[in-house]
Amino acid sequence: MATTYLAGVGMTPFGKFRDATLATLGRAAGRETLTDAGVEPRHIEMIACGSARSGILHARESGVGQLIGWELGIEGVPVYNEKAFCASGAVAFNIAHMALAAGIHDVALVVGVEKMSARDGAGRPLTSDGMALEGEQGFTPPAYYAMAARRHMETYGTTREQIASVAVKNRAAAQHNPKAQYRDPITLDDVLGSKAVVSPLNLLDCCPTGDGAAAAVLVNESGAEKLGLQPTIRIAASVMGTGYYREQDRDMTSFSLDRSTSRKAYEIASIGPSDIDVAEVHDSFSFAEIIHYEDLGFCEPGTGGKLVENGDTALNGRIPVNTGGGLLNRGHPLGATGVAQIVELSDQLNGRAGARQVHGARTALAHISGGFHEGDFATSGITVLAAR
Amino acid sequence: MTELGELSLGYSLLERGADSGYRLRASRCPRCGDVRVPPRELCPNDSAPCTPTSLTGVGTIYEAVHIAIPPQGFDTSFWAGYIDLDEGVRFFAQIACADGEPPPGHGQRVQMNVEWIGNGDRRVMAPIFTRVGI
Repeated sequence: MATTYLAGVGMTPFGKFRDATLATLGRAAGRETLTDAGVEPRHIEMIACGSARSGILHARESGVGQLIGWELGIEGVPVYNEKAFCASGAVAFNIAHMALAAGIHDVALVVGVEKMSARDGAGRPLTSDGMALEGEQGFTPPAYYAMAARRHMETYGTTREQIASVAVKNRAAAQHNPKAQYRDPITLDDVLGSKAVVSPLNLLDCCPTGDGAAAAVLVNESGAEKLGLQPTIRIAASVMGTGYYREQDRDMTSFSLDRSTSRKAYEIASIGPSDIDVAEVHDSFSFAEIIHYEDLGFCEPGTGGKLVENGDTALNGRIPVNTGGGLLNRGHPLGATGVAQIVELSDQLNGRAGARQVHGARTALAHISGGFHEGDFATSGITVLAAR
Repeated sequence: MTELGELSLGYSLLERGADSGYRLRASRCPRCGDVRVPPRELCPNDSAPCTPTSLTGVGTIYEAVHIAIPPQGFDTSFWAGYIDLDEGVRFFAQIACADGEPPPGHGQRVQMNVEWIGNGDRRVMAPIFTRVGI
């Protein structure tokens, strides 16, 4: 299997941009990425594109990758359009990694894109494609995490303040990220006093919807050689998984799918959780980050609340998490998020993260959750990146 | 009249029992006893053809939350959560809680009633669980 590398990254600011389209967002992120990699459109041998809601929101169920590829002047290459809920961009990254690792292609463009600011029912929680029956009864994704939060609070004594401190911490990081959707610092009182969404989660515990795109150029050894590139970041592992649907008495204080995918990724990368210097995790809701700490092995089960309370996951902590602001503050244009996590970690490993730089970061992990199915997550993805 | 399941599954999950009360459509595997809602044609454990059955909707709340900002199709806030039905099925549904009643929570016993929920073209007849002894 060939070794794969990140050759360049780029992304648009995330936010609500009335005049932006899937094409203009994808083109902007793609051009920035090609420039960063020092690669011409004619060098791209395949495109993998993630976009979760292009059909229902923009009447383009298929062909988003073709649309963006042609905006960039890329034609005649295979295009893989991936739809995996919030993990759509992460799956596109995984597809490109596999194609390059297998030696089928040598240079790939990955794009994640979403345009959500113009949609029916804006301001209300999105329902989930994989929970349509539950949706008839009012199910929303924050309700799932709120139930998990209540179980965690009762089982382990996790406090409401610890949960809110995730939102405060990630906003503190976002103020240094010029591409983040929300950058003004907030306090615990701001979070605790914001509008109730689903007990115990308030508005500032929930990620926004928005518009944006992120992209990456991947190469394998052959691709780097023929283009004369010297990529600085190796893709040490890229793992995807789907949920464990058989289980009907699931303990919601832990997400077993994330335990499984992260263990596989650590094994492939020949590292353990203590080797991670900086991480991006799927903080769609503040509480989620606490449970992810535990499932990714950053701390023992039940101690995630204390980890954030102690500052261990802050910018200057033992293992900084969501240094770009996370989904909560950078924003969460669904299909773009999985690739935006890679952009942030790439900037960290290349020492170009500015005021949010984690000094000496050499090994980084990205975790994403995508959608629901049968009461479990539909998708989970882990990427491990290593500075060369 | 639209019943739960018709909008997402294409059929109603409700059926009338012999006592004219509503029951929940389910499946049971004759080989391993696995019970599922919505009903399956083949068992996920052993691929055996499943037998249709129905459940009365008696169970225990696994966890419940107050959905203060309801999704599209709902006008007002409500309580909802996962119910562990006595037959081994975990089922998401709304939970009744009148003003002044203690909030629904983990471990409380419940039984199923059926009421209209939602509004407009999303209005459906659906289970609402009520707590036993409260």
